[in-house]
Formats: sequence, C-alpha cells, structure tokens
Amino acid sequence: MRAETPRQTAPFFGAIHTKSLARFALPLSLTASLLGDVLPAAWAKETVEPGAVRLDGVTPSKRPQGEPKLLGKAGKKAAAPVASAGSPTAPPLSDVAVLCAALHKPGTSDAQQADAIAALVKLDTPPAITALLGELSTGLSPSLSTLTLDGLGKHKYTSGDPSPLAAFFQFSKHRSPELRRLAYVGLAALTEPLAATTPGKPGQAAAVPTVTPVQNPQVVRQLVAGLSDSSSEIRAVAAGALGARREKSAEGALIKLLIRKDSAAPPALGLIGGPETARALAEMVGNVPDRMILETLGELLKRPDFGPEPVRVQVIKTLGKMPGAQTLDILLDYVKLTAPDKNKPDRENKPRPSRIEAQKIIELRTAK
Amino acid sequence: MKPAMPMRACTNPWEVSFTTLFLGGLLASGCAEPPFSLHAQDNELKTLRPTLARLATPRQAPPSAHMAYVFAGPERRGDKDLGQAEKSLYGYDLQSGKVVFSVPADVRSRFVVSGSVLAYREGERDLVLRDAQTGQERGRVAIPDGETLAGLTGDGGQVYFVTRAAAEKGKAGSRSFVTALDAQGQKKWRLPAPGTAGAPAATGGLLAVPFRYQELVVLDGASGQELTRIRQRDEQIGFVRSGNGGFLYGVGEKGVALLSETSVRAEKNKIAYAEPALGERVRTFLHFDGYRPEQLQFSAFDRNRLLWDVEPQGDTVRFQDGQAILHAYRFVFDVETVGGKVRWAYAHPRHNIMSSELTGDAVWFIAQDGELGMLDRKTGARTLAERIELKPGQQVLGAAFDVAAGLPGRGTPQATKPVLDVLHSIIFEKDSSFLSVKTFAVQSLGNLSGKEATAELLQVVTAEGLPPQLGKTAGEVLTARKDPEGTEFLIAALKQSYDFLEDRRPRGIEILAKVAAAMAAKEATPVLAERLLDPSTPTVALKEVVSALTTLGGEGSARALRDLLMMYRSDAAFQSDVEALRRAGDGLLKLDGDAGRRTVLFVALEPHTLPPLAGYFKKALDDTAPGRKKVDPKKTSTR
Repeated sequence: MRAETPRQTAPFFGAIHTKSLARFALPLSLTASLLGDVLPAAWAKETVEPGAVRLDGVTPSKRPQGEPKLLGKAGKKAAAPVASAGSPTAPPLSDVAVLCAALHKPGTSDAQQADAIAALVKLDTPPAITALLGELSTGLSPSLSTLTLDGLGKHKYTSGDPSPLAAFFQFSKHRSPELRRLAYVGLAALTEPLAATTPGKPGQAAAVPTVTPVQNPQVVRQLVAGLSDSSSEIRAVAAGALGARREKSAEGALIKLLIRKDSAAPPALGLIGGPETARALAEMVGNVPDRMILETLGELLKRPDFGPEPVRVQVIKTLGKMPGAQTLDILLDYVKLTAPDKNKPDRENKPRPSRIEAQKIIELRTAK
Repeated sequence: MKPAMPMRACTNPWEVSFTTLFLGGLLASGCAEPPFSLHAQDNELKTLRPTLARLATPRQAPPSAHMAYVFAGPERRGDKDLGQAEKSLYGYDLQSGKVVFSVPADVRSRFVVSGSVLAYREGERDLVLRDAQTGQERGRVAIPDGETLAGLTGDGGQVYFVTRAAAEKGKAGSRSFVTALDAQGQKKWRLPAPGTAGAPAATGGLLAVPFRYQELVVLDGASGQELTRIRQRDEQIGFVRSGNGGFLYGVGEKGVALLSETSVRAEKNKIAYAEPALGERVRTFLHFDGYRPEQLQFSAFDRNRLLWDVEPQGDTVRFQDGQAILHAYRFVFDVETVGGKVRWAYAHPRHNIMSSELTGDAVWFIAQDGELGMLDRKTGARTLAERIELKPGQQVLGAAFDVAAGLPGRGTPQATKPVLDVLHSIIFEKDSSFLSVKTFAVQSLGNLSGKEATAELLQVVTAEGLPPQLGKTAGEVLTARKDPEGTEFLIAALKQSYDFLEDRRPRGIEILAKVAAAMAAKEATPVLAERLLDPSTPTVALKEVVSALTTLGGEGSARALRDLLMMYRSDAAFQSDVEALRRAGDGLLKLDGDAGRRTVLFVALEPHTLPPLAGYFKKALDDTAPGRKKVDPKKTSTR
C-alpha cells in the first residue's frame, strides 16, 4: 500500500492560490489586478493545483511529454476563439487552456461551459483531469459540477493522474444530494492506479492488470460516513461500495442501516457480515421487515467463507422460523448450493449439518 | 379637579331610609360630606391618621381557622358546563382531614369568610350566608333588580358587598351601592356612591372601597361613615385587599401600595409602593381587578396569579421576604421579587391547581381532581397531600382557604426536588399548552448558577419536539449568561450533525452559533467550521455560523469561510439569499489578510459568480481598498 502523502489529506479548497486564478480567461487587466504583486514568479511555469496531487505522489512537473501546459501564455490562449464541441468549423478542442479560458470567459453561456467541461472530460489526459479538479476547487455551478464529477468518477486513473480524492471528499459534503452522490460514486469507483501495461511477448496475451479499490483509510471512513447520509441514494452507493470492498469494519454500521430498514443494507451486509451479523439478524425479527432479513441471510449463506458451520446451522434455523415463500426459496437454493461434489470421495462428501437442517425444514414446510 | 357628577334621587324606599339615616348620623357627627361625596376632601393626613391608628389597634385573635371551602361541579369551558354533574359546596376540615359538610350550590363568586359566616353569590341574584362550620344556610339576600354584584368581602362577622347600576334615564355616569349585612343576612346599612365602585376589602372593622378608579374610600364597617379617602394622582387604583399592616391597594398595573401616612402624597414614587420585577415573561397579576365583575367568579385568573404579602420598611414597603409565589396552572414557583430568580418550584402532577392561597408560611392549594396540598413557603416542600372525594363527574372549580397561620401539615414532608430538576420537568412536559410557563422556566434556568443549568439550556436549544420559541429563549438566556464553564457542553451540542443511522438531526445550530460568538468560545471554531460545511446544517443557520466564525477567528475559520464561498459562489440555490456568502467574504477580508482579499477579489470578478454577490464584493473591496481615504459625508458640502 502506498504511503499517504500529507498533501493528499490537505483540504481541497485550501489549495486555492493565485495560480488557480491565472487559469481563468479573465480580461488581462483583471487578471493583472487579481494577481498583482502577490503572484509568485513561478506561477506561470507550474500550473497544477496543489490539491491535485497525483495518486502516486508524482509531481506535475513530471508531466508527460507532448501535453500542453495548462497556463502557459494564458492571455494568448484566452484570446483563442472557442466554439462549441461538435461544430464543424471548430478547431479541435484539445487544448486544456483554451477550454479553461472558455469556462471563465464573460458572457459564456451555460451550454458553452458544459461543452468545455465535456471536452475536458473527453480529453482524458492528466492535464485535463488536473484542470477539471482545479475548476471544481474554485467553484462551478451545480450543473457544471455534476458534469465534472461525473467525468472524474468515470475516469480510470493511472499512476500519472492527479488524485481526485480531495475533490471527492469535499463534494461528499456538498449541499446538493446529487453532487454528493456523484462524489460517492467517484470514491466507490476509485481504484489503485493501474501500472503502465507491459506488452506481452509475441504470441502471448498482455498481462491483465489487477484492479483493486484504492487503499486509503480516509476513503473507507468517508464511505462509512455515507451510510449516515440523509439521501437514500447516497447510502445505497456507500453500502454497495463497502460491500464490494468486503469492508469488514463497516459491519456495525451496516447492521444499524438494516435496523433503520434501509434496503441498501441487505446486499452489502450479505457480502461482509459474519457471525455478529447473523446474531443481530436473529434479534431483528419482528422489528425489521422479514424480506430484508431473509435477503441478508440468503446472501450470507451464499458465501463460502461464512461460518463456522454451527453459525450456518443457526442461520438456517432462524430462516426456518420465518414465514413466507421467500424462506423456502432461500433454503432450496442453499440445499442446491451445498450439494455433494460428485468428484470428491465419499468421506469428504459428508453432508453439512446446515444442509441437513435446511432439508428438514423444507420437508416440514412442503409436507404442510 | 374632580369631574362633577350628577346627583340622583333615591327612589328605593329602603335606600331612602338608609341614606337619610346615614346623612343624619354624619351631620350629627359633624362631618360635612356624606360617604362617597364628590366634594369630600381627599389625601388628608388628619383623617388618615386616625384610620391608620384603628388599623394598628390589636384585634382579638380569631378562632384558629382550618377550613377549606371547595366548589365542585361539571367540567366548565368558558361559561358553559360540559356535563350534568351536581354542583356542590364542600366544607373540608384541614385539621381533621374530613369533609364536614357538602351542600348543593351553584356558586357564582369567590367565597368570603367572615367570623363564623361563609358568604358567596349563588345563581345570578342571591347572596347566600352559611354557617362556616356546618354549611347551614343562615340567610339569603337578593341582589336588587337592576344591580350587578361588583364585589364581596367580610370582616368580624359582617359581610359587605358592592353593586352597580346603570345610570338613571337622562343622567350620565354609573351608580354604585355599598351594603353591609350582619351574620344573619340582615342589612345593616346601604350607601349610594355616585360613580363606579370596585370590589371592597375589609379588616379591623374598616371597609375600603376603590372608587372612581383613582380613589380609595375607607368606611367604618359598623356605621358606613367615611373615615378617609385617598386619591392617587398618577395611576389608577385597581384593587384593594387586606394584608399585613392593613390595606393594600393596587397602583397602576404592576404595583401595590400599603395604606400609610405616605399615601396622601398620592404619587407612586412618594408612597409606600412596591413593584415586583419578575422578568418579562411573568404577567404581573397581583390581584383580581376590582372593577371587573367577571373576576368575582372562579376563572382562569385563579389559576394564573401571584400570591404575596408585603412588609413595611419605614416609609416604604417591600414584598415579604422579597418573594412572590407564582401560581401558573399546574406549577408553583417561588420567585424573588427583585430579579425574578426562582428559589424553588413545584410541578403538580397531571391536574391543574384550581385555587391557591398564601397563609403565613404555607401555600395551600387544591387541584382539579380534589387533591389538596400545602407547600412550605420557604422550601417548597409539600407537607400535606390529601384528597376530597368528589361526587361522580365533578371537578373542583374553585376554592377558598380559611386557615390560620401556623396550621401544621400532616404526614412526612416530601423531599424537595432541586429547582433544576423541577424546571426541567416543566420545560420537557409533553403538554404543549403551557408555553408561557415553559418559557418562564427556561428564563429561570438563566438565574441558576452552575454549568448544569447551562447544559440544561443547551438541551432546550437542541431538543426535539419543543416549541421553537423555547429554543430561542434558551439561546437568549445563554447569550446573556456567557458561562465559560459551559463551553464543553456547547461544543458537544454543536457536534450533533445529521446521522441517518442514529436517527439524529442537528437542531438549534443557528442559536448555538450565536451563543458561541457571545461566549467568545474560541474552542468552538473547529466544530463550527465542520457545521458550516455540513450539508445537514440548515441554510438559515449558515449566516450565524459564518458570523460566529468571523467573530471567533482562530485556526480553520478562514479556511472554512473560503471553502463555503468558493463552493457555492455560483450556486443558484443561494441566489435568493446570498447573505451567508456575503458574510463569508466579509469574514475572509477580516480574518485572512491578503489571501482573503485575493479570494474575494476572484469571487467578485469571476463572471459566473452570482451577480448580487459579485456586486457586493466589488463594493466591499473598493471600500476596504488599502490606502483608500474614507470620505466623511458631513465634511463634503455642496453649494
């Protein structure tokens, strides 16, 4: 796991400096007045937001060759004509600075701004990502923030990219539920940066890089915090992400989520719950809708790592006490799932006590 | 100068005879003016002194009284009975704890006990006199036709009542009559009064009658002769009652004066006058209005009043022990008359206290369900807990206590609850109909020392389900209190954010922020910064949080303000109310030096910033530009 750099934990908006201001295509006189004597001489050379630190800690000065500088000769770029994406006569929207200038040009319509953001997202290069993060840090309208966060959330981060963590953290506290949701979606989708793909030898397939969720305790904390959000959609995203990560530390919070009868809890809890969850579920009968308990128990039983066996037996017994056809379906599935493996020798194929229990209950119910 | 009042002819035969008798008697005694004469001299020391001397004369101690008289009937709402239950008068011996009599009676006034006589109005037109010990009827006097009962009192076995009649045809002004009855209900005398007379009071063989709103006429109880008259020059005299040291009369709406030699000075700052300062939430209801006949009956005024007495201090007067007992429905408070600090409080369970009386060191009361109680005046400890068994469907509608001072309670006194606990129970009482009492309880918390009271106030601010007005009041109290020991509780309260899992939501953030600023609680800066960026913080609270951060400053405050401003500077959700963002910019200009100025400049000039915000900041930047000379508009003159 990569060591977390102090800069990664810095507040997102804390990174706003005069460097950010220079990126905007404000009138030249305005930019000069804004920056004035406080502008560090180096600002024009180093144009990346301090908040936009890369996942791997690589400084922006190690920018890949051929990528345009974000702010070089900003005034000149600002003067460049900006056309909306898709216009047949428009110059190719590949220059990050031009797009940024378009965003801050007086009189730019919402649609033009949206086009600029879309174009930046489409560029999908580290400078473009950096620019998008910078835009978020200096404040966009909610509609543009939505586009930006959506784009950042879908981006597959590599080791050369700046980290969007600070932005996601910041927007996970935005007053707009939709923006919060997008921030959580981004956090949930965030993986460890992929290493540069090494081409396989001739005749061999290239090695498929392993995708693992970003290993950052802050991310887990934020996802757990998302379970407490007022928006059910955000809770669903957070629960889903925690379940997918098999985040054991979230078990308690997910149990509480189930107690609050949130439908996002059963699938996630089913993926990470252990004996503690099984016990809690047994106590919830009557207080939480049966379908939620059944769904969770069913998911738990599907997991081969769930156990030990006596706990499974208890779960089956709990299921047996619950009415409804859903119970029978789960038990039947379980019996099928735990059917003896014909390829194994008989002595290794002894039926599991939980399976026997499940069969008993099925027989009793079907006999009725 | 007194307004001239028309004289009227006496037409009623017995009235004529009594009037003649009195006029004759008065002339014989050398007095030039008949009682209630419009030409009588007032504020005369030579007539007041002998009257005061009579009041000061030691009187024969009355037999030790120990009775409660209780009127019970069907539940009433306004003037309407809500049931068919019998209306009864109960006599309850507080010494033996037994009902000594119970008679059917439609009581329409408060009770008066005079010696061995119990008097009250029954039905619309009868005054009934009963034996105070047995309930046996002694006499029944009809209120003359065309007259309305305006007041009733008694002393030394006599009963006095005041009636009013409309002006005679063709004449202006109202007429009143003062009548004295003996213990059997026989009329002893009756006096006409050319003007409005109020409810009288009697003690020491004297009768005091409020007259024409500004005067207090003192009569001899035996003969009806007018002894002296006070005319208050600066305020109305709204009531008169007896008390320690003689007659007490209401001066204005909030004060009381003791009839003393100073009374002739006739201005409230020159007489023996006292006015309780109980706080703005307490309605100063010192006594029933002597000029409002409807207040003769048991009503909500009996359940929401002050119990008090006074003690002379040289030429002035003060409330006895500096206290007044505030009875408000189910609750009783001992309140200091200067400052309004609550010394003790009592919350009666479930039922309203319908009547209460202060006698010596005891506060007597009776609740709607017939439960009788006695509270120690000094401690609030309950020393009597009994119940009158009422007939089916009955509720107590009113009561009077004829109790000698010093009558002991029975049983083991109940332990007094700490004031804080009682106030808490009152504030968090589920019944929402006592908003004023609850507000008073919240204000009273402010007078209690200790951080526990601060914690309680913070709990009021953040509690779920309480009326918002209480939280607001608690905030005002906390702001005024500025208790540095309460900072830890304040921070804990501010940490409460929305949490779906814990089913918790933030409450009173706006108030808490104001309190933090008032308390200069710099330790609260980090948690205020958290709340500022917390999506669950209500939009209306953001302004106060921003202001608090600006006031407090400290690490993290500028960053939080900057984050808020940048995040929402172009958010249309703030379009209609940009005040929080404006304040955030102002805060940055104040707290964050050049960096803050640059941030605000950016926000002001960036084309997509909300227009009202950009305009405001442009002006603010211009106004605060370094080196800019402020122009004094007064010095710039135009020709």
